[in-house]
Amino acid sequence: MAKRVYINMNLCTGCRSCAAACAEGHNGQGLLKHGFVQEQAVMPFHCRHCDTPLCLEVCPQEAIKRDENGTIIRMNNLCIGCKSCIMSCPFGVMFPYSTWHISPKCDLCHDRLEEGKDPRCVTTCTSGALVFEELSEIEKKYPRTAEGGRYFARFMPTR
Amino acid sequence: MKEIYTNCSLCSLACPLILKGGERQPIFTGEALLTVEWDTRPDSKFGGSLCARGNGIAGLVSHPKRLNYPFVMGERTRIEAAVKEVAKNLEQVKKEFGAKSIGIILGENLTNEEAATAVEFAERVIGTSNVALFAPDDAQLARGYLEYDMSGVKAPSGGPKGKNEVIFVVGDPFTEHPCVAKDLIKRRNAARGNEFIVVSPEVNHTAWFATMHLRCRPGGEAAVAAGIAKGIVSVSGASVPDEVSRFLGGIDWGDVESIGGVKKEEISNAARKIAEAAAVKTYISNIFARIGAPALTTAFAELATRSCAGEWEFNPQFVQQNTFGIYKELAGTSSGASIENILTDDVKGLIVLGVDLFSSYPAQIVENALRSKKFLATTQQFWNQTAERANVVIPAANLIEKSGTVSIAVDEDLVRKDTVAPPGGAISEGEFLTLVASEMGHELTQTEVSRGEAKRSGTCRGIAEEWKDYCSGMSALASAKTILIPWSEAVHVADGAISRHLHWSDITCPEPELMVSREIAKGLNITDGAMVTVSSAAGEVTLRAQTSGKLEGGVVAATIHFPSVRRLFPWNFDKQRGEVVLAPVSVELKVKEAG
Repeated sequence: MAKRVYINMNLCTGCRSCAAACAEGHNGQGLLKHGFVQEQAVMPFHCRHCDTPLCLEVCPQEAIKRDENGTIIRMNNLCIGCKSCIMSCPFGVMFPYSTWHISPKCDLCHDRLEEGKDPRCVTTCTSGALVFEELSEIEKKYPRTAEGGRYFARFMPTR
Repeated sequence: MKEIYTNCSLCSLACPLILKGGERQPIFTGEALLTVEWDTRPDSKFGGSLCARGNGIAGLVSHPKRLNYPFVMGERTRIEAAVKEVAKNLEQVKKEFGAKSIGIILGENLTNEEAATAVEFAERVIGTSNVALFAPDDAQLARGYLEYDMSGVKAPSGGPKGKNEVIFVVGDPFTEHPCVAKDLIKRRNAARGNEFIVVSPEVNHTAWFATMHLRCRPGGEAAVAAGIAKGIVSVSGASVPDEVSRFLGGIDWGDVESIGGVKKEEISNAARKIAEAAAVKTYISNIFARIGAPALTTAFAELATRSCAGEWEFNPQFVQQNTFGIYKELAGTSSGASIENILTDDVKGLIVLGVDLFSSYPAQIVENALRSKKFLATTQQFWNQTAERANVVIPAANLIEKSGTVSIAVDEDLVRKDTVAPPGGAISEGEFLTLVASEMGHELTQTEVSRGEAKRSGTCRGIAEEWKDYCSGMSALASAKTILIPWSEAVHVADGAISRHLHWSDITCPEPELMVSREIAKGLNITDGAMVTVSSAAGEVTLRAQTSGKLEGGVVAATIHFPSVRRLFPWNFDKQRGEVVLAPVSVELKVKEAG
């Protein structure tokens, strides 16, 4: 299984560094959304890169595709900005670009992946909440009952 | 592609980062368009993480609105002409009103060498000792550390009783210095039984992770810290200097409970855990009155930390990068005049270096002072309200564009080697002072500053008086129905004068917000999005309200990075030292428009 970004909800401090790094790396337009949890914490919500992505299925222009890593990517040149993908996304992580007519989405920082680096949001995470791993590795590295902390919860896939 | 290994210049953590030069050349900037790369080498501080501000630093360095040429009376000019104008006017003011009528205000964006140059410039070239640092968030932390010397406290022998580690935090470092989160959360989770004790009146980002949250009254942090120090000294049997021992003996638990708002049992429990810990790590974090009486809190927290039998580490965290360094430079000279003296009518000529005074300090006294000056010169990175009022504006270099040393923590100096070229005609403050001195017929060279430990007072004289003042100040707040405390956002640092230029801060934190507790929202029928007028004795502002479970009782909070919110605070001067003192303030709320 390909690597994905996972979040340990107990570690996120809501500092939005991930959103800042994402915005800086994508021409000032962040591809991350933040949600509030019980008014207490702010956490990033990004594309899950679903196994059966509805955005891909509904796209009339076939602008959304799956690459060899399983990453769901959008071809900017094909997108007509119909917002079908935004309406179909069950997680609400897609949203319209404020400046362009197209709909942006997380691309897992493919420019960095090609260089063997982690996505920007993971590299910059100030609390270590975001990790870029395969699910099997996550389960091996962070067993559910370990960590000693009283707040430990299972990693939630966010992409 | 050019790679510059440097450090973030936006707060005192100075996280390592790599600036990469691109191929495109933006208009007016010295360097090619820069992008941030994370310094993820194994020995890198915090694993290379950068907070939202750090991620935006490349954007700030080559920001299209950075000043890159000087102005004289609002007209664009050359640097030589601007320097001549400054020298001419300073000489004129000196001739007309005397050397003492010229003052220099230093911002935190200076290196140690530049601070020393400013002192030398004032003393030798002008002949005045009117040099002061304006750092309302940090100056009191620095003063608390230097003035109340707790190095005489001796930990008890025999080693620690417990095996666990305790992290003791006052304030909200996860918001103000997000990069420490990785280290602190890791320590908390390292072993079962490790404690994370946080003192704050609100459930802030740090308190959310606490294993023990001592929820104090707004401004009551110093009282809780005093209680903890008293508890630890009595439990651990540490040896403390006589004057400190006498002072601790005189602290009344009734005062601690009523001012701090936390019960004695809770404080004693926290004190016992800290006293028995195998290792203690203490952080004090403050932005514009986020914690009550920062100097006292620093002293008590240091006393508490040093009284532990185990290993300890004490970190008063400064919001801006070099406050401690500049404070140290000023303390070691005959200068160190208070900001209050410089804002009086007696000072007719003023040089403001590297701080947007008006935005940081939006009080009537500053407005009056800036208007009454015969001559005002300033160095600024961006066009702002201070620049609007100045006769001469010099485009300033960012700290990332200067070489020299900065004191990033209490006794930790950082030598800047790799630097980025400043945009266009921007120059460093040290260079500016050297040019003005040369124009006035003096040779001024930027001298090397001796590095090393800060010189502390050796005593704790005056702590009892400050405690008394604090107690009487807090009792005035006791009758207040609604208390306003400052709230900070991780996107911004200090007064936000620089970080508000981050292009995406308009999306994440576009306007100040008022957070109200559920009790207040219910009582005044405030709904989310309602426009509420907040008025204090100092001013009035209308803000959009948001109900929050992070606050309780009669407490409201407002984002402090906007001058409009800071106008609500009284901006009093400390009677003895002339520094600006901020504290939580009593306010009245009135719903203007329903949400």
